[in-house]
Amino acid sequence: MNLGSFIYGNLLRRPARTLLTISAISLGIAAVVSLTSISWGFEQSWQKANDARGTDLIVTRMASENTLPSTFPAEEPRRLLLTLPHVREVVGLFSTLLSVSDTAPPVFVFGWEFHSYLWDHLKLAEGRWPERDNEPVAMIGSTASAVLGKKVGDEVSIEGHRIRVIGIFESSAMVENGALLLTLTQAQAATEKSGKVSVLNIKLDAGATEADSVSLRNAVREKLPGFSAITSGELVRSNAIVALSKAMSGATTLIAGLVSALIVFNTMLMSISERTKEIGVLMALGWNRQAILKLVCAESALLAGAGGIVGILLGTGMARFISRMDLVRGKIEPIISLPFLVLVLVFSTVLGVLGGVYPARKAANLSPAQALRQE
Amino acid sequence: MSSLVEAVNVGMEFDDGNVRALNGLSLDIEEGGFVALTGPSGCGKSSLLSIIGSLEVPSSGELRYRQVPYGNLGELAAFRRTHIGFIFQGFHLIPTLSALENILVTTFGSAASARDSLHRATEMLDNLGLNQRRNHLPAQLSGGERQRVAIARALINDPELILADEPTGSLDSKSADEVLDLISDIREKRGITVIMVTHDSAAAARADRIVRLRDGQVEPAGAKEHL
Repeated sequence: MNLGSFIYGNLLRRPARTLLTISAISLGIAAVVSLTSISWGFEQSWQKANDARGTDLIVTRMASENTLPSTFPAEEPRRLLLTLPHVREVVGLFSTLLSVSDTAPPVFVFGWEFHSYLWDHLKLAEGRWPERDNEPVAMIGSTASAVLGKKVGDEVSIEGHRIRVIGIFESSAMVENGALLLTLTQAQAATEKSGKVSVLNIKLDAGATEADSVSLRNAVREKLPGFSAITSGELVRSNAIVALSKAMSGATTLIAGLVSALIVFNTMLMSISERTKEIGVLMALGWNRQAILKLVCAESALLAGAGGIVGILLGTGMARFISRMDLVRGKIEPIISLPFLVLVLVFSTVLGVLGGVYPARKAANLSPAQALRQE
Repeated sequence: MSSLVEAVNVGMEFDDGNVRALNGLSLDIEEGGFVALTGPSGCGKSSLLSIIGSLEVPSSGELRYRQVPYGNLGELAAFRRTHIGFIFQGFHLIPTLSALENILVTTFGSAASARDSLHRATEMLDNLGLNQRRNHLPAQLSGGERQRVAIARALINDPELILADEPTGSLDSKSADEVLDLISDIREKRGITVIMVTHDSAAAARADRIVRLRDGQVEPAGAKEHL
């Protein structure tokens, strides 16, 4: 027999209360796990999409902090950017979120300059690529194809324009797999935003250094008022939705943490109150304050740890379930990393110990004789 | 015989001095003795036992263990664990622990290894005829069996002093006799000092010295033959 089996027995003694406590903690932890993994997944989906394209810098409107940057006429900025040192290529990109059929959820629609480097990382899974810039056709990502139920030869409706799907592609970025892809000219025409782009992608020449990149960013700020040249990571981090989802995840963590600690606090306080005589007996038998503290804190930690494990399993399941919903599928892949889950488990256990500190101190400070007299 | 516990002019007050459980009590308990503390309800028997067991600190006077004041004994929890065994009227076994575990719970923090403690506890249960009941919970044991487990728990750390508070108070007469036989036997074989609080004159008669308390003081002529 050891302290562990004693603690285990104490928790099993009141199965309903133990189960309710674990359930309440696990719900809080599940919210933390699911929301955080989705928030990170959202951020990384966009990061991956930008990285996969091989873009060095992205020029966007400075105020563009929406989910998708607001569009702007590309011609002037493009001409100016091409005059700056080390700029090898400037490519327009258009992106929007649209419903392309009556029944399906909205999908991302991208317009990429025909024959630009943006297309290089895509793999053709079925059908063919567009043959010219003004060909009124669309490519569809493999996930979007499954979500929308569209295959090669089917039509999609973009802002009332019926466009035929001629190929299915695969990308290393989930956001692209869940999207429709048109040439930039076609996307602009279909959305009646001729000449406009969401961002301009800059590819630098091979000899460009970090210092050159910094100079270029300064030059953009100086010569293109209202625009900024940023990295894909900065673009994602400045995104309002990413920032909001991270803030929500942080707030949920804080609230779930406080609630979990309070639940453990309440449970252990009740448990101590009911077991006052038992604690008196242990003290009479030679258990000292530290042993009583250890007993109560370990019970609290075990409760919260169990709640943490159940919460992690629940939260992971919730995140996966949410990512498979049609509305989200192909847009966000939750990031569930082992270090994060270990951290969550440690977090919940530490909260449990904190919630148990006061009840433990209360128990340890009992006078053995008074505790034994308790009815 | 040398003195094991010595109380000198000990007072014990509760409720801001409104209740006086012990009133300048002086008593000397010799090593190896079997002392019965008797007296009417409220005379201070249990308070005296609590103070001797270091569960409470007296309001006044001094208590010594082998001539050492209790205040100089170091950590009192460790003192209780190594020197004193308690037997309670209501058994006070932990309901979630088996008979064997209830004995072992006393060995937490002791110098003995877990293996030695297990061996010793098993041997004790064998000697007490409880080998077949070792994995039973207290609720599955009879009153007599529970008290025997409690006695084994009190003895597991090899104490010098057993403090028994009405050990037969919750038992039928047959079980009470068995428990008193056991306590007498242990005391004789191990030379352990026993202080037993009892209302029962038959139980008190088992002791070799009877100390009668009244109003928080020892009544004169406390020896058994004077009763």
